[in-house]
Amino acid sequence: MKEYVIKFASSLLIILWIYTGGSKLLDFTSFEHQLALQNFSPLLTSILKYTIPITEVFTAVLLCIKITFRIGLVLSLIIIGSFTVYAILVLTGFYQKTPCSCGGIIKTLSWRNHLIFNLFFLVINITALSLSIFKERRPRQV
Amino acid sequence: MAQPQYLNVKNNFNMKNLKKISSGFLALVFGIALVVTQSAFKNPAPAKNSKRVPVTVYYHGPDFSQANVTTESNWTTTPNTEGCDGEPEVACSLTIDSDYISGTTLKAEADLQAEESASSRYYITETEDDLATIVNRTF
Repeated sequence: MKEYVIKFASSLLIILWIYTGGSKLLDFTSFEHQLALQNFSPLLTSILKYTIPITEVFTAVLLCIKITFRIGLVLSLIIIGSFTVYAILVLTGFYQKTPCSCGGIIKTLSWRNHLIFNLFFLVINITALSLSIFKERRPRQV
Repeated sequence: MAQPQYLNVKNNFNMKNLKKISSGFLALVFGIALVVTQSAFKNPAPAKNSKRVPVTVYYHGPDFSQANVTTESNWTTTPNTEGCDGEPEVACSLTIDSDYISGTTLKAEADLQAEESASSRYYITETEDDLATIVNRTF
């Protein structure tokens, strides 16, 4: 049962990262423009415009391979955690300007719905990682 | 006649590999298919309807409450000064068929629908005119 939950959760995460990363790469000009409107320095913007989509796609690939699966889950957790914190800061009014450089259909969501979306995947990610770690630590039956 | 042992090992190896990669690989393929199909349908060709006369109206309400952004009389053909960047946060502009325009404002038939992006901030999500172009903006 746990194996299936892990597989299902990881499949959802793979789809998420391939979709968001792929959408950003396919519509790179739009993503670049929206990133420039964010509250980042120009240097950080120039770094992020490449690292964000590449990292998302890379994470999806890591999740596909058994030996790098755990690393993929950790990286996925870091990324989605960061995006979730950003969404919370936006909703609490921390930033004056809040454009969204989300990929694909996600950019049509309101910030509140986007936060719910992120929290859903955060829970999935944590669940998969916990089960994966628990599975390894369980003593083997002789 | 029993199958030679080396064939059993080979078959088991192939099946094990297939099981190892299948769900992740399938998810990867599905994700790529989603990206491709989404981008393919992102900018559909505009409908060729010679009877349509598009008119752009801009939001000039006192605030971005749901009541005000969906009040058609708050939308006029006078451009606003903020510019509309397309972000789904607050209402900005709308390009709609002239059938929904009365003078310089929207008719009630436009039937604007809005959704909340943050506390007391609404953006337009749909109108009665399915072919209308909605452009919201950052607050």
